[in-house]
Amino acid sequence: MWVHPGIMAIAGALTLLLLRGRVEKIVFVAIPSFSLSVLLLTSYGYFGQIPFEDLSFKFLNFTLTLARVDKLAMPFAYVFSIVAIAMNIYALNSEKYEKVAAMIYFGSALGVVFAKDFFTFYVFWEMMAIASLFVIWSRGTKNSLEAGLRYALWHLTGGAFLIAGMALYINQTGSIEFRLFENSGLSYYLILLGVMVNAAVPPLHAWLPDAYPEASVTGAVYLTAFTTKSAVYALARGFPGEELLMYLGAIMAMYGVIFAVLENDGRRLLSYHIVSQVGYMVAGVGIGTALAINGAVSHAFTHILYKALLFMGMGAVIEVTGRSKFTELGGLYRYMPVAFYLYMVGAFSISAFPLFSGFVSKNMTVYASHEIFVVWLLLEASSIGTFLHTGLKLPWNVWFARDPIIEAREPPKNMLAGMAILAGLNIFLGIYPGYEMLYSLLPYEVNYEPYEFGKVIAMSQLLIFTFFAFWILRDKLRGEEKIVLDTDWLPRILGNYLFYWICRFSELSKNMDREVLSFAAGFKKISGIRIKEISAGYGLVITVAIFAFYLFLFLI
Amino acid sequence: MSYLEERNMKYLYIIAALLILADILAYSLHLTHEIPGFSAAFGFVGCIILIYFSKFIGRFITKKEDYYERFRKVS
Repeated sequence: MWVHPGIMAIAGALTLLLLRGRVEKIVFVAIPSFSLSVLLLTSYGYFGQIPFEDLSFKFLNFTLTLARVDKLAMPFAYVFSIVAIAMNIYALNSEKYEKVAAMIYFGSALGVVFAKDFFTFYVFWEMMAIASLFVIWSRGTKNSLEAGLRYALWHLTGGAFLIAGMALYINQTGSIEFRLFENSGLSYYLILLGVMVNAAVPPLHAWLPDAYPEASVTGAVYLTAFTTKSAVYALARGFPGEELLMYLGAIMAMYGVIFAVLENDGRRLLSYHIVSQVGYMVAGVGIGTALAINGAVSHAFTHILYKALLFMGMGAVIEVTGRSKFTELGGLYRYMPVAFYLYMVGAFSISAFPLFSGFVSKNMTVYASHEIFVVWLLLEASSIGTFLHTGLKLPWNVWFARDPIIEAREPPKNMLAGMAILAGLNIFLGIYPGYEMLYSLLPYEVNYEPYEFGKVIAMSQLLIFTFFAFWILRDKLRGEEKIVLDTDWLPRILGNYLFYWICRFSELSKNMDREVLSFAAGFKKISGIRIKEISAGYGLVITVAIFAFYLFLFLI
Repeated sequence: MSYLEERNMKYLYIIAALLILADILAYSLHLTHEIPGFSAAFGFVGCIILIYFSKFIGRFITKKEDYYERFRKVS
């Protein structure tokens, strides 16, 4: 019988509640290490030949299968486990409840990836939303509480679409398997919509740049990895070759880049780049050829590694300075050069510099889009923007740009260690994508040579000349003390008014209540009847007694 | 400002020139089929267009930081 790493991680998260001190830290790092070792054993065929299914049981009239282990699920599970180890080392000294929420989040993401049927999928999917909500809330500031609430509303809406679609789909086909869906009309699009909310496809993406930057330094690192990438997995599983996704993905890649130009908050800029990078994956899934799916999956793999590294780098700055806006930072190179170099490894990776991990994965997707000119153009242009912001604008504004206006120091050692692990992995995967390493994990056989002469030359030219353009226009890219409105503008404004009117209404009904009571009191006075007043607790007892009586009647 | 002094910029110019040369060479040897320097021009022009285009859009959608606070009626 297969050991489900996700369920083990959730169980481990709950034991964390009982532990403290050094033991807690050891267990905390051991949880993802354990799931990584289970996956390695699975790869070596200890539990049977991949693909296999396990952990099935009967529930009502359906058979639920918790584990479907195949070539599409494994790369996601691997990267979740690998990155979680580095993240846990980074977050070794964070609050206990954040740790617990983060590990439940991690475990349920694994659960989503391995789930075969709708029920399991949906349960883990919602668990992921709730756990990530608590990760956001664990910062405890007013902004994070409010952003978390908006985040929850987006995800609950998405979940409602998803379950509606699933119910319709089961009704139409009688199958509860989460697999390649045939276009069955409304149910198909409802499921697609539900998954698209989690994949942050515009205009349903606004929760991402809204909530992620409001999480704590360590919490934000967890958020970058699981929600969007498990959605990419769901898209790759259920909707490969869906043409709509191809165009949406290309638009998405560009969308994130354009908004990142305007952004003043460091982690919000990086959040927009999650939107942009997930766009590549969504476009890859939409193209749907073997090469494109490979590109999407490998890009998800490397993206998780470098995006976590980028958030860690920016998080380190926030940790030591307490500031995250470009207008309040600058010149930090003097104080924290190590964090800068580690950050730059992530930045070069996301920009797809040759010898860094993005180069072997992102270009695969772009290469696969060659035949559809519009998609290719948008993806290629987004590569420029990616380097422009994460590789140039952010580091320039944070570490250079002017003399330091705030004291800083290097972040704690465990944070640097977590970053160093990811930086090492990014360089390693970039230099050696290898047919035994990353490329062997991909769902289809890889016939793609990343280090062709022409590809290396073209990418290097693109990036170096982007740098020249940046250098000329760098003063335009300084931060401004502004915020950028996004597609959540309408819901936020309307929600505000709605909430206001609800409060007004409850105020009104309270007043009416009071009027009625004083009216009744008047009657009482006139008629001179003495009524015994009962206390609230006594009233509760009576109510319970009445209900008990009804229940009794119902039972006999 | 140690890492981006003019002195270091010189090396970047050299690398850029070498890349263009390599591209022309590869093209004449039929190793690649793109126009030599296409990516360089694409990167340079694309970057400038991107910045100006985004700034243009930004005129309509960037607001003061207390934008949403002003709409708040219930605190």
